[in-house]
Amino acid sequence: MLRESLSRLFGGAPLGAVVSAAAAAPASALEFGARDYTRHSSALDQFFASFHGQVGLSFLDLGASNQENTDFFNQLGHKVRYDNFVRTMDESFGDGDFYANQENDARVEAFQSKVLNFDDDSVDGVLVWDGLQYLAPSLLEPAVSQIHAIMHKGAQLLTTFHTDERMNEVPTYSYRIQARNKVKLVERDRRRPAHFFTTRQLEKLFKEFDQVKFFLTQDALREVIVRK
Amino acid sequence: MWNRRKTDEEPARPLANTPNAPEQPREGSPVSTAPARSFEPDVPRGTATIGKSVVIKGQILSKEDLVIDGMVEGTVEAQENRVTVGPNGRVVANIKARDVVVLGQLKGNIEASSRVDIRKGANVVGDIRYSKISIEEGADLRGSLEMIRTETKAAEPVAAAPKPPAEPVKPAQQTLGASAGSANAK
Repeated sequence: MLRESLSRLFGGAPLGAVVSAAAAAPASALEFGARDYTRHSSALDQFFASFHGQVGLSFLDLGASNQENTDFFNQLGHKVRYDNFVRTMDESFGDGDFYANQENDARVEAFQSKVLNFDDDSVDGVLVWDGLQYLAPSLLEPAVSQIHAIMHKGAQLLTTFHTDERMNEVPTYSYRIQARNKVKLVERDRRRPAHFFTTRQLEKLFKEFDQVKFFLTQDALREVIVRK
Repeated sequence: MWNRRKTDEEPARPLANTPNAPEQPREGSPVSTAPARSFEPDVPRGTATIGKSVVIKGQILSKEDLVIDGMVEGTVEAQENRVTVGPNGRVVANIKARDVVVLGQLKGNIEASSRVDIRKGANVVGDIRYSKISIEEGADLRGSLEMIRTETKAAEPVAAAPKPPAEPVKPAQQTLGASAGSANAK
């Protein structure tokens, strides 16, 4: 029973690998399978530290709209825009083979007409969360390039990527900001990512930007802050 | 395509692309002013209701609370009152009111001097300005959220008003007469 649960938790990976991973992982990593949990986020802390003392900035949240993030930005005196990136991906590519559909020109065009359509240099900070890892390679670079275009010079972007390549499917979360350095992750579903990135690959992906910083978390996520 | 099209304004994102896209308004649809029975529990006395079989194109000015459970295209103003887009409501309009509650589909900007409630199942594409906002789990909202702050409210320039995302309003095709006793369409 325990063996099956562990195997499920680690996406059906061979049990030997599961057991050794579980033994090596800190206790909090096992919360990975929980529906939701709150944890410290150094990346979020640094992301907001760079805007300290400023008001009236414009942030783009590519996650689903939620009360917590709205309240957080309100308290800081900023404006937030929601674009629900993953849901738009589901609407555009979700019927059938999710990744094969991302090669379909008509679908790609429809997707691009629905998300990230903001004026160039109009955003001070972007919370991408975990959406990028579900984009096929052909769509990933144009998406990153478009995000780069809509950001002001000096603006920052925060994104996350799962790091455990043994997992066939990873949880997709809704990210709720609890405090400047604390985020609640609410699991929405599980899906297969298009890629697991190494640090080097991420540096290459964000080559248009000036600075890339990585933060490894205990729940097998790599948080990344990128500055334009 | 991304990044290669520089426009002054964000292009309108049609609701028709959403799974529960509204039907296109049909010209000559019968106008019913009867309250939607299915939505009765939330409709207090003294509230005007646009029933779910009603299609209105034009400008609605209301001096009482208004529930829209049908289709409305144009503008909706109820400066001192509450406007509710019911679960069957399909609205393509900018809404200006004291309070705005959305349970159905809205494409357009909201400006609420007091409160905005986006309820579960609502689908909103547009920019929202508010004093207070509540977003229920399961609501789909795409657009910017900006709190109206007291100090900026007084000196607010007209140009700062949210941009209308919808296409220009066509002249009213149907008028809701006095018998409606509620919304006055111009």
